[in-house]
Amino acid sequence: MIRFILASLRYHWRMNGAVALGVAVAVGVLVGALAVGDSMRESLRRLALDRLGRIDLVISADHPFRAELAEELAATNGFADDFNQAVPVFLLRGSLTRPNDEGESIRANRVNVIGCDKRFWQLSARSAPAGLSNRASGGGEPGDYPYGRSIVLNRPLAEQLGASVGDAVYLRLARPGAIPSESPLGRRGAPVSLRLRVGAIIEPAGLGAFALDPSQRSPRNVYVSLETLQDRLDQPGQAGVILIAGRTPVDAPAESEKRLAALLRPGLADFGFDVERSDRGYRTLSADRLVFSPSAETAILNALKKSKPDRPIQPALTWLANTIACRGREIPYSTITAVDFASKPPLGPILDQEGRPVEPLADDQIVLNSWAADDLGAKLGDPIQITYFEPESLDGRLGERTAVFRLAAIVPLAGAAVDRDLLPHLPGVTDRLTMDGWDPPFPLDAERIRPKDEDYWRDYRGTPKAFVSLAAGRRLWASRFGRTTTLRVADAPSRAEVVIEETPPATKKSHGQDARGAHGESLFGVRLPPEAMGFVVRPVKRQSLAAASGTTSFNLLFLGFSFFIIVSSVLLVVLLARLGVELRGPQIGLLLAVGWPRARISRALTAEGALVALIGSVLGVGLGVSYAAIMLAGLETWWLPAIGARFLRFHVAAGSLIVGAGVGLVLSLAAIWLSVRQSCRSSPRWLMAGSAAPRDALSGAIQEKDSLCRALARRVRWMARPCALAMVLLVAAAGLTVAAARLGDEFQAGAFFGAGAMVLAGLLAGMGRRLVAGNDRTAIRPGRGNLARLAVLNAARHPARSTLSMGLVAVACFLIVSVSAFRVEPSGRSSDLHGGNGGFTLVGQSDLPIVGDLSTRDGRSRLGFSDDDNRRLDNSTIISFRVQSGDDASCLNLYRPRQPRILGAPAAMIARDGFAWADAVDRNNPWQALAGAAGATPAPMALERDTATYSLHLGGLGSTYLVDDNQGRPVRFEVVGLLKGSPFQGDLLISEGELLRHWPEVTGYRFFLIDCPGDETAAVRAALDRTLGDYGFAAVPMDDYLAAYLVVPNTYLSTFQSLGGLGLLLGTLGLAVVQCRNVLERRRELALFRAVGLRRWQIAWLVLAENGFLLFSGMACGTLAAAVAVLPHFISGDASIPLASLAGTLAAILLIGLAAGGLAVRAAVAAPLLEALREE
Amino acid sequence: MPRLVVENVAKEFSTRAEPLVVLRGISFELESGQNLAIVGPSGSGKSTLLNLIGTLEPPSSGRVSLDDVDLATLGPADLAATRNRRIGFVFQDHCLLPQCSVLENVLVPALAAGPLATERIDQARLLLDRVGLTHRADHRPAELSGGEKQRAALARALINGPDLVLADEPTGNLDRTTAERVADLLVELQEQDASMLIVVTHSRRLAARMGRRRELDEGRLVESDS
Repeated sequence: MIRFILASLRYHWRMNGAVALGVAVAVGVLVGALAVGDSMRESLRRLALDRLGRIDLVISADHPFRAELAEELAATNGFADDFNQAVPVFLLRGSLTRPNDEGESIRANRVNVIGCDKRFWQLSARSAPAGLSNRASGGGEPGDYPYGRSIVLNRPLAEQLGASVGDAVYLRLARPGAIPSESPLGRRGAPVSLRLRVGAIIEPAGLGAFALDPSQRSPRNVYVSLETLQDRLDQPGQAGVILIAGRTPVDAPAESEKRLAALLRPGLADFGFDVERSDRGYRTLSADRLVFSPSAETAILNALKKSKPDRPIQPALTWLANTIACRGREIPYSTITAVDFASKPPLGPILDQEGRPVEPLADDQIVLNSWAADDLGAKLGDPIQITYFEPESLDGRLGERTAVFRLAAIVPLAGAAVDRDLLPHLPGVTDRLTMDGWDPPFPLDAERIRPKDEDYWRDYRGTPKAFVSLAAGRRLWASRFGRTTTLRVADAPSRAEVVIEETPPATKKSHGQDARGAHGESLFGVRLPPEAMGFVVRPVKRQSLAAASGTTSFNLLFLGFSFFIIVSSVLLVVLLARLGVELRGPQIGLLLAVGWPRARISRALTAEGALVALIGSVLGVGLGVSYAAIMLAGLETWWLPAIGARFLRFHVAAGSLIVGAGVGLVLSLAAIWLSVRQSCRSSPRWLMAGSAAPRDALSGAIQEKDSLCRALARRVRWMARPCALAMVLLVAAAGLTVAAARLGDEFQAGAFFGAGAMVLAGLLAGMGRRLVAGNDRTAIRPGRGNLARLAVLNAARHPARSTLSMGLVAVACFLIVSVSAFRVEPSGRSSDLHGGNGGFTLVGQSDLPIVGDLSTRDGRSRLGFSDDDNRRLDNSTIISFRVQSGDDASCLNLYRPRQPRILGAPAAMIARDGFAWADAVDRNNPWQALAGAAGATPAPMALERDTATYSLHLGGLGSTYLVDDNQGRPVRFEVVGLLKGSPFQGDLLISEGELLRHWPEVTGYRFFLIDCPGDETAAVRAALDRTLGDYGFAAVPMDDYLAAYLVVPNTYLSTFQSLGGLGLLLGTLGLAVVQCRNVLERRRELALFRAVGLRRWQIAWLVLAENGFLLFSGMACGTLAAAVAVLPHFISGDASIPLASLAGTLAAILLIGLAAGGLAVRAAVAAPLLEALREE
Repeated sequence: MPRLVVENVAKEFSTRAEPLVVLRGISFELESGQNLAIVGPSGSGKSTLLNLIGTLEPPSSGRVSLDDVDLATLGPADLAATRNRRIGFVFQDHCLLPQCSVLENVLVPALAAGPLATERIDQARLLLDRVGLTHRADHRPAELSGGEKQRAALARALINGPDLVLADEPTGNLDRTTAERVADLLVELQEQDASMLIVVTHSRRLAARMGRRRELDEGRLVESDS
């Protein structure tokens, strides 16, 4: 038997070879698709590892801290167990400009500014970045860069700027860690500008492409000396981030971030706190950000109470009173403190002029010190008018308000009433010896300052002149940034605590034994939780590796892309296997006739087929590797916009090879087995009559037994009729279509495609049935069209074969047509309030927050716009969004987003309405849903539909999504609207109020939508650029902005279509094979036509018409099914079906198919007539 | 009056060795109403001669003319038209299209002329009537017996009213009784239509039914002794 199989394998090598090639294609496509997925995932993984080098974890804070903290951390016991190095750096965002020879500036925005020293390069997993060690590139010792004003650029940034080594560049940065600029006591105005020189240019590999947020696109990095940054940002000895290197190149062990967090011992200075010891027996804790954040305050209070529950603590809120007025007199620029007076020492009591403790104040009461009361001539019970700045400004405008209190007491300037530490450090104020020397962030009228005010300042500095109750003060001056400026904490009587205070700084203590911050400054040895103070330990390497798996399974994605080729190749295998078996019909018939059992023949043929399939699979693995290589090459060239960067490296997992080869082998074996099984069931007489005469049953019935549908029918009786099968499929498709309308977007698309696929299968089954039924029809009738009818009749001679041929073409057409409908053309869309552009013409983004109102003349004036530019913007509507930075969750980023960027939609946007919505809780006014109930949980959120569906995998309206606030606390949002085709790709949209509630530290605006008259677009852009350029502001036309996103899905569609084209190639190949086979089988008939005088063109037409019939029918089935699949998309108005190009594509398919049929025509007309007649 | 002239026709095939001469110096004439049987053993070149006369392949030398028109001078289109309108073929194994009915098979030669007139259908039915297959007109070849298939093939050969009917072993696959019937029909129809008929056969019985008989012997046509 084995020898028989092997001999048969050898003898029929041509046909077996064809089948093996078909199997190879099926396996190849499967393996290739999986290999592309593997390559994508592995490339992203390697990229993430490469860019992070040996960095496993990152410690960051929302304010600068001592760079020495890194060294102290590295020196702790236990650090070396898991980690190798701790390197302090600043990681900032800024813009870089280079003046060119023409006197213009080339600007690069969204530049990663890495403030580092040479320790940073030691974190590289490879040797020093190319270019850095090249002395010719700018002098200096290898690895010394950056130093002084010499900086390092990575090549993408250098190319964007057109910068070379030695060029001067200007770096603009926001000053970190200052008092919030939206506080009247915070600094506003232009960012810090540094003039630097390019010392080296490095390649964007390894740390040359360092970035914490994973993206496949090369970041634009500038490496600046840490010391220079510290100096220019007024942050001496400070850093913003500590990079932690692991002990091995792979990721640090799980839970290592917890161990690292436990080792972290920041001191008060690292938290931005200052403690002053009073000789009255208490200490005053203040924050360099003026107020304690609510979370920090809570954590401090909890920690203090936990260490000693009865410790007296007195929170206070000190604010600036622009004016204290009474009886027509006024005192300028004083401090006023809101505090609840303590009744016992050391925090109290405050005694009045009679030496009696001042009673707790009511909300409308005020206490003046004697200096102020004397100055004002105020008497008890007098109304005291306080004028002050509003505690926060959302639009950059300082609002002044007035409150009136009743004078409840006058206290002498003595005891607890004299405490200059109640006013926290205010740069430009508390550090000045005279009021005349003040350089405050708010507008100061120096004319108002009297000599007596100077005297008071000299003697008492910021000692408050007035006191109100804490509740009253907080009502007036509390803000989102906090409600407490100082915490006065009574010294503890415990001797032990004092001892701890006096312990010298130690760096080698066992875990958990540190009773004080390593910096030597602490508050009674109480350990404040770093996480509550804004310190975050991020396992960046682990997060990056997790993100490398992508938003969707790359394997499934590319299997999906290749699905139709897989279907086509399996159909091709079925077709070739059937032809192969039919070719051997006489032999099978002979074996049956001489008494071989059917099962034995079937086994022998199946075994031979298995060998063929095995050979094909082996070939297919090689083919798959090539296919993957071509796909990867395609992704890095033709389809580059889909991935945005060239970073792919070929990689295939053994599992993918095994799975791909295995599945392909099983599918192919099934196809071969089915063909063999059907043939062996035929009668020996038919088989011996040869495949050229498959229909010589006396009944005249066609050999439907050979049809695929019949084979299925044996299993399922009620499906016996292809017509019934077609009906069932069509009804199922209709049901699926109805059900799809109720499903979420992600499933909806699949359901509609499923429905389309069912329609396709139904139509093909129906066509199969038509072919069977049409077999008995009369072809030759009076009149024209006899040859065409004869061609159709010929097609009906092998219904299964013809149906398979049609199927091959139909599948390709289905894919090409349906995918075409989803292509969105980015250009030429007019401004439309309810369209994708929302009626806006420009989208602006800035690197640094812009604190001010761009929508008003006054606001623009305050930001420094010239009168001319201000006028140019009069006709424009500018809506500004706050931005909480996060991962790019749009289709431009292949990495899985951890926490997307969040935009705070201002009231102006909510009131304006606009943009196209795929779905919304309130369809009439979707934006209003965002406003929602203030403080509601979960908070309302809107986002782009594609982001929700494909990136975040949200179910649709009502689904919730968790993000972390800056303290790592989860914040839950609920989807109330889904946008479509908007510029909010990859962003979460919430109301501005919600954003400030959860991320109060976000100041200013960084995202802008601008609606301006079309003919003023260029002028508006130029005006904005002139004034806001230093903020890293850039505005781009809305169409360009949207096009950048549309190019990704369109490229994926192109990929899909290209693979559909490959499927079409297989389809036409199959069709050509079938036609050639038909011609071969019928060559005697064709010869007869010639013998009886039919012209060659008539015979050619006969063959071509049959080919055209199958081709056209397949195309019609595929197109019709595709129409069903895209119908909802079309009805919803989302589809912009490119009819002209689609018609062109279909015409091309028809021509290609007919050209393939030309092979058969050639074979038909060129065959030697006599040999054909003799069947030689 | 139609007249077939075969003059000094020879046919040789090139082989890897020396050329293989199949026919040499064949000459004869045939006029309307005449018939001719060519006999000879297998491989003697009978079918080759018939193919030369039927313009299915050209002679190596010599001339075949129909009504004084040298068929070798005709282009492919004229040759196809000549075969279609003036020559009728009957093959040994009938060569019917399995997917078409008997009536449709008869009409196949008529398709070469373009749109089919209703009269041609009537004519085909008449022919089927003449060959005794009226009741089988709508049947498929697979449903016919061997004799019926050959009669259908005969009707197909006559559909365009050819001047010359060429029959290659028309009874070769039939039993004796059926062969007799087909032979009778062949001669009868030829006489009725006054056409020329050349039958190639190794059946002495069929040859005996023809008015003239020749035998191919080593490529030469000689008078048959039967």
